[in-house]
This record gives sequence, C-alpha cells and structure tokens, in this order.
Amino acid sequence: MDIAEIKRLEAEGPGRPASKKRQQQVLKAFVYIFLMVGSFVMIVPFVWMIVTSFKPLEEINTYPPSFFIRKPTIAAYIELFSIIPMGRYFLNSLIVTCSITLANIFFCSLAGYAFAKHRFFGRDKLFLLLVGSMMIPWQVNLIPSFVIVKKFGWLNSFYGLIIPAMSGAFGIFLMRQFIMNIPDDLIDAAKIDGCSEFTIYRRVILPLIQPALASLAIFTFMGQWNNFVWPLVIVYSSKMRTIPIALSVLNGQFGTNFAMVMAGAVVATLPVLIVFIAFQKYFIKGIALTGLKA
Amino acid sequence: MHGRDIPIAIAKALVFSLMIFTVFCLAGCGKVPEEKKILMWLVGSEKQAQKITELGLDFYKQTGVKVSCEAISWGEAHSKYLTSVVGEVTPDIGTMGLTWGTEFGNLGAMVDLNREFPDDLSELTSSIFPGLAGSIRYNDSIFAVPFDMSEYIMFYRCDIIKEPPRTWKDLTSLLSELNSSGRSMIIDWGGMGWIGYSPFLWQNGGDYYDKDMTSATLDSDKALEAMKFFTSLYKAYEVPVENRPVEQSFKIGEYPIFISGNWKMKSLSDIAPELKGKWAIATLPAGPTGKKTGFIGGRVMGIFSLSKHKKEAWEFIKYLSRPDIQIKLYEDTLESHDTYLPPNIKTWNLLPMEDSFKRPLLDQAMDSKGPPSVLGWDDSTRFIDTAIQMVVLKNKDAGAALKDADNELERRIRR
Amino acid sequence: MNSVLKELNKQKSAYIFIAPSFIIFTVFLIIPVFASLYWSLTEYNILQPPKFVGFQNYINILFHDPRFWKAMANTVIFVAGTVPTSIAISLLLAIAIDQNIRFKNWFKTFFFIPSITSIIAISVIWKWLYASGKYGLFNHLLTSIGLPSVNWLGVTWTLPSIILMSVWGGLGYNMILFLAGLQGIPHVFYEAAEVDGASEWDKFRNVTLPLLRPTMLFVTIMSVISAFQVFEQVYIMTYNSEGAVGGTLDCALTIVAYLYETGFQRFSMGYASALAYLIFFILFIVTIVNMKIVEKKVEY
Repeated sequence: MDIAEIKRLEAEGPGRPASKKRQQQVLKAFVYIFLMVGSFVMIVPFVWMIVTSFKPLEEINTYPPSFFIRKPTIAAYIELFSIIPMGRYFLNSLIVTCSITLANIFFCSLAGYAFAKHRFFGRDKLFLLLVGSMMIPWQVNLIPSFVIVKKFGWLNSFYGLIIPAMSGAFGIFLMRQFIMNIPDDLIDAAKIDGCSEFTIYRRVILPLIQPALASLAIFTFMGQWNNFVWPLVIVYSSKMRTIPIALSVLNGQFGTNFAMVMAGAVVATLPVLIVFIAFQKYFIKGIALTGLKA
Repeated sequence: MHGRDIPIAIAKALVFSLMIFTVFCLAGCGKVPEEKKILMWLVGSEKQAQKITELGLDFYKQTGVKVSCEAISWGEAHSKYLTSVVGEVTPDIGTMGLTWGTEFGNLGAMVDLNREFPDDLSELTSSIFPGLAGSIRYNDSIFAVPFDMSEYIMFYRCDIIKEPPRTWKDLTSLLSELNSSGRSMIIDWGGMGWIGYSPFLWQNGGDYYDKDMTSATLDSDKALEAMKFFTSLYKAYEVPVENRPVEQSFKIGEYPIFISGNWKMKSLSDIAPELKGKWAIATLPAGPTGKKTGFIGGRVMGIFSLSKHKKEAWEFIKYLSRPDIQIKLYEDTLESHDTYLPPNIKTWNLLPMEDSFKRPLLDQAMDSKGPPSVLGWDDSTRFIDTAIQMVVLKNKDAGAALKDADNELERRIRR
Repeated sequence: MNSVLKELNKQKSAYIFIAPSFIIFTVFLIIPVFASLYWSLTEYNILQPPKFVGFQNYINILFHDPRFWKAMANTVIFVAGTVPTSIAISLLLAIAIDQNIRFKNWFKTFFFIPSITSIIAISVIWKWLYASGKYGLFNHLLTSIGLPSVNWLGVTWTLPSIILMSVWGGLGYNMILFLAGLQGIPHVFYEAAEVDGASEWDKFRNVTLPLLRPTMLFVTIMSVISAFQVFEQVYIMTYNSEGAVGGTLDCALTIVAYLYETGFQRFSMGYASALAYLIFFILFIVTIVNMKIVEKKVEY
C-alpha cells in the first residue's frame, strides 16, 4: 500500500455522514469507468502493433481487419535481427540516451533552482531568452547546429550525439516551475544551519522535486530514445547508428513488410516502457518526501 | 533515506557513463584508412544496402577498391543529402529520386558524368529505356544514371474482367459496366496528381513543355481534352478521389481493376497469395493518338563532387549496371519482399520472370516517359496537382485551371 | 560590507549553477538562432553563399504568399482544436488516477503508451484506422451501426483527423506533468479544507487549481508551443509519393510543414528562416501574454 493511500484512508476517518460516503462511491465508480474506457482506447494501437508483428505477410492486409492471427509466426523478428546488428545499435542508443538523461537531470535542476530561488543580475531576461528559444522550430536550427558540430570535429561521434543535448530549455523551465512551489522557509532554514548553496541543492531541493525529476527523466529518455533527425544528420557510418535510424530503413521503398516494421517498433518501444514503469514509483515516493507533513 | 542516495547515484552514473563514452570515442579515432574505399548511400532498404555491400566484396576482388553501402530512408533522404553537402561529408556515390540528380548537379554538388566520363557514359546510357534517358539529361549534362526503374502498369482481375481495356473508349465502357454493380477502378500511384494525369496528357499528344523546354504548353487543346477525360474518371465513373487500400479492395472485387506501379505485383503476390492466377497485368489503354504512353520513374545514382575517388566510384557504377549484377539485384530484392526492375533494356532479355508479366512490362516501359528535365519542375508540380484537384473537388472549369497552372509553370522555367 | 559579499557570493553560485546549461545553449542554440536570423534576410539555397535581400522575404511572406496564410489558418485551428481539449482531458485523467484507486500504475502505463510508441508504428496504425471506404476500422464501426462512412483523409476531414490523433497521442504526456504537479501539493491544504467541510468540488476549485498554477502555466505554454510547431503528424499523414506535404489542396498544411517544404524540399533556406522568425514572433507574444495572465494569479 502506498503512502498516498494511507493518507487518504486517514483523511477519510470515522464518523463520516453516510450520504457523503455514498456520493464518494458513485464518484469512484465513474472514475473507474472513465479510466477503463480511456485505457482501452489507448492500448488498442499498441496491441495492434504486437499482433501485426506476429502475422504472416498474407494476413496483414485482410478485410475486415482482424486481431486474430490464424498462423502466428516470429519470422519478422528473426528477419529483423538478421538484418540489423541490434546489439550494437542498442548499446549506442543506451549510451547516448542514458548520458543525456542523467546530464539533463543534473544540469536542468541546477539551473532551474537558480532561476526559481536566486536573484541575480539578468535573471528574468535570461529566462525569457530560454523560453523564447523553444519557439524557434528545430528545422531552422538544424543546419547551423550541424555546421558547428562539424567545426568541432564531432560528426559521427558520441560527442556530437550527446553534448548538444545535455541540457535543455524544456527541462530548465520544468524544474523552475516545480522548485518555485517549494517554500522559501525551507531554504532559509538550511542557510541558517550553515549549509552551502550546493548542499542546499542536494539536501533540500533534489529530494523535494523527485516527482518532477522523474517526469524529466521519463521525457528526456523517451525523447532521446526516439530522437531521429539529429542522429540521422550527424551519423554517417553504420556502426554509430541508433535504433530509430536503423528502424527507418527497414522498410523497403514501397513498404510492404509491415510485420517487420512493427516488430522493429515493438523492440524499440520496450526499453522506454521499462524505463517508464521503473520511474513511476518516484512519483509516489515524492509525496512522502514533501517534508511538510509535520 | 532516498533524498541522499538519489543525487549520489546520479553523480556516480554520470561519471560512469561519461567514462564509457570517452572510451568509445577514443576507440573510434585514430584509424586511418589506407585502402581506397568508396561509400555509397542507398535511398531504400537496409536489406538491399547489405546486398550491395556484399556485391562490393566481389568488386574488391576485381579492383582492390572497398565498397560499403548504407541505407537512408526515403522520407529524410533529401535533407540528409543537403546537410552532407553543407558539411562536406557526402558519400562518393548517392542514389536518389529521378529528378534530384539535375537539382543537386546544378548547385554544383555532383559530377557531370557527361564531361568526366563521356565515352563510357554513352555506352552505359545507350540501352537505358528512352523515357528514363530523357529525364536525366539536362542540356548537355548528365549528373546521374538510372539505378532501377518503376513504371505505370494496369492490374485487373481476369476472373471478373474478360478483356483488359485497350483504348480510352474501352475504359469508359468497362467502367460504366462496373459502376452498374457498384464497382470501379482505382488510380493508385499519383492519383489526383500530375503523375496520374501525365499518361493521359501524353496519350493525347500533349506535353508539359514545348520541344526546346522553353515554354509551358498546358494551355493547349490537347492538354485540356486530356484533363477533361482524366477528371471525368473521378467525376463520372466513381474512381475514388482518396487513397484506397488497393490490395484489400482488389481481393474482395470492389475495385477489380487499378492503375499503379509495378511494385504492386510483388505486394499482391505476398499479401493475396490466394488470388494467384486470378489477376493479370496489361499496358495502359491507348489514347486518341494510339499511344499508350505510361509514366516511368526510378532511382538514379551519381557521384558527388567532393568524392576523392571519382574514378573508382564510376567503376562501381558501371559494375552495378552490368546485366548479370542487375539480375542479381532483382533476385535479391524479390527475396526481401521489395521490388527492383532493371533500367536497361539489355538486362530484360535475361530477366527470370514469367512471360505473361515480362511482356506487358517491357512493352509499357518502351512507351513511357519520365518527368520533364526542367529546372524548377519540382517547384511546379504542385500547381498541376492543384489544377486537377480544383476541377474534381471544387468543380472549377478545366480550361481555367490549366491556364493558371500553365502560368505558374511558365514563371518557374529556369534555364 | 559582509552582507554585500554574501550577496555577491550568492550571485556567484547562481551563475555557476546556470553555467553548464548556458554554455551548451549559447553554442548549440543561440549561435544557430542568430545564424538563421541572418539567413532570414538573405536569399540562400545552402549550397551557394547567401545573398542579402533585406526584408524582402518577410514582405513576400506577408503580402504575396497565400499559402502562408492558409498554413497559418490551419495551424491556428490545430492549436485551438488540440490544446484546450488535451489539457482538460489529461487534467481529469491525472485527478482520477490520483484518487485512492487500485491499479493506478497500470492506468498510468496505459495512458502513456501512445507517447512512447514509435511514430512510424503510430502512423501505420492510424492510417489503418482512417482508411477510406469501408476498409478502415473507424468506417467499419460507423457503417456497422448504420451511419455513413467518412472520408477521414479527404479535404474536409484531414485536419480534424490529425487533431484527433494528436489529442490521443499527447494525453499521457500532459497527464504525467499534472500528476507530478498534483503530488507536489502538500496534503495539509486538503486536510485544512476538509476541516472546513469542503466538498470534493470545493477542494478542486479552491486547493487543487490554484496550487496547480505553475504546472498549468508550464503545460499550457509547452502545449501551445509544440502545437504551433506541429509537423510529424502532418508529414506522416499527408506526404505523397512526390514528397509534397499538406494534403489535397493544402487542406492540412501547417506552418512548420510549409517551412520544411520550403527549406528542405525546395532549398529556400532564407525564406524558411523568415517563416521561422514569424512563428517565433507570434509564439513569443502569445507566451508573454500567457505568463502575465497566469503568474499574476499565482500570488496568493
């Protein structure tokens, strides 16, 4: 049983009027129905993806469309792994994505803390610049960024894949919004205790923004794992490829082998799914650490 | 306490991953290639790229030049080539869409093969299908040669339709008959656009530009007649204006005839194996001029100006154009459910394909045309699309629509 | 004296904290942004050196380019169609999941699935859902209950279809943000409200909503920015064999799709950059207005 639940049970307490309890039960029934219908709508495409990946070619485009497979086969997976050196690409993707995610958690929360709780010269202007930079579509920055990375000699390397993405306006903005919610008293108290700025960041801020850090981690991991255009442009040898690049060329010119494309999508999706499930628990832990219980 | 171990864990992991990637980067540096090595980019599938790399081993044995081929996907190929040119990291050989060679070549990014290798080139292009040959030549320059080809062809269910339509008249009477039982035809590849309109325009004796490619001719009577006929298929004969899943509707017989690219042969036999023997292909119905001209497209391959091994790259292009190698490419792509048709006529004699398919394909390919070789063509096509769509969907007058398109084409001719 | 030093020291640490992020920014974002700002004043095809033309690109876009206005109108429809719907539904979802219910982790995972599924797979799936005639699943369902089938990817319906798909795909993303926001609300506030005898609705209106404002601001700004820059969905649902984007008669051409076509299909980088700066200008004003409205209310 998680902490949120305990709290709510406590909050409900004894001696509550029966009508209110009934009202809550009805509400809860609605909540379940709402969530179940919603989940069904969300999950159908994913199930379709998995089902299609196990279909033989002649069953893929049947009419009427069917979730039932007459002759299930793993041929698509076998073909997939025989075409793509999956191990190498997986490792590339993992190194790039993990480095970027960790760097983002660290750098964005640091900068977000400074923007939320410090007063310094030029703060608001810098922040506006930051938010403003998100409004330029990536398409126009692609070529200048590419030229810069080329000047550094980082084309086709992990440097080029990782370093430009180590911090981001989105992350800093997100962190700032959450850190703004933390009462100043907590920080002031730590200062009176003689903590250094970095210690305050580590001991006070980080524990309090865990739900936000988990969100940032999930978004960064997800975004980078599926990132396509940047690696596409700067990688030009097959050993440096990441998974999305590899997947994009599975399709032939006329895209008939959907089973293999779907198998590729399943393989590419699983790590993100696992990361999501793993990081979810921090949302809940976050509450226990709000530090304001007492 | 979680508050403490999370940041430490993060810091540890950060240091660790930085170490890993430093090691990787160092491992990647320091290798200087001593052998001559050419890199080829294939717009297409990973599988075909691997097959070409395998062919490269054979080429290496003969010449001592290493070849590696890497696939890039269609959707992003244009921007990938663009950035590689800017960043001066182009491959030696690139395959691309039919009109891109001229486009990149005129920007100075590609080698004019006609100037560098004139003798070999004329031999190589001598047996190319005439429709393709017209599309790759720009003034006196040829920046890329065909790698493969795709062509328009008509598919029909021979258990439903006894005789394929031979003329425009046959076509409309067949469609009337089908319409009476709620059925019709699909124009799949390039329907409701210039590709779909082109065969009808050509079959009627019209064209987009005059002979010297100096003036647009969409305001001609021939173009107008062709436009009226083409759009009447949608407006009067229930050809669907939106994309339909061709294989399914063909299978259940709702659309027992469709016009598309040759690659649908492969996908029909993969997706609907139970229809085997129940369908056939035929050349397009001929227009009033008696011509059955179809549309022809395909990938081309050329050499980038920055290549340090232009001669070797050219040798490999010649190698890939050899009939025996082309047959190999054809067989390899069949195996991976993809399609490759050789672009030169000589190879077709050797092609291991059933005669009932080979004959109409060859027959059609001999009377086919590609996109006109005019700079600015790629900017112009959408005005032709708009004209067609305005006529079909918004009931605009065909003459007025063509006049508008003609003006836009005229403005965009760059010589 | 001491306090001045302390103040400086405090500032120093703030600068150190933002330094790593700002180095990355300057090099990989600010410099490119200025490069493209310069390009927007030139005629530039990428392969040959840019030619300075002053404000000609901007003038052409604003006064001589009907496609720009068509794209702008479509983009505004897209933003208006997706952002409020998505925020409302995902906030409801987050609140529902935040209740004391069972299987909450399962529900979270389900709703997040579209966000993590590869865009290639999603597009294949939705094209199948939207297929015309009786072949698509949606039309299959419509016709089986006696309704006429809809031409989902035809001139009238393409944009609404893309809106529907985008709302569906973006729910999980916003839901996670709202959940994190909800879980950051100290529980004492709810307890205090309960002591006062507040109903569920009162609690939502007087506790949840005000305290969720920073998150709300963030989600709104991010949603508007990303909806304004919608590209992938449009590209995938509408591109045809010739590489044109936007669908029949530009029925779903959005501003970034147009920018992409201009810059990467037609090599007019100068024109594309000018388009980007117009997008930037509009978004900047929208965001500032947004921040002014919401942050004013944040003071409580």
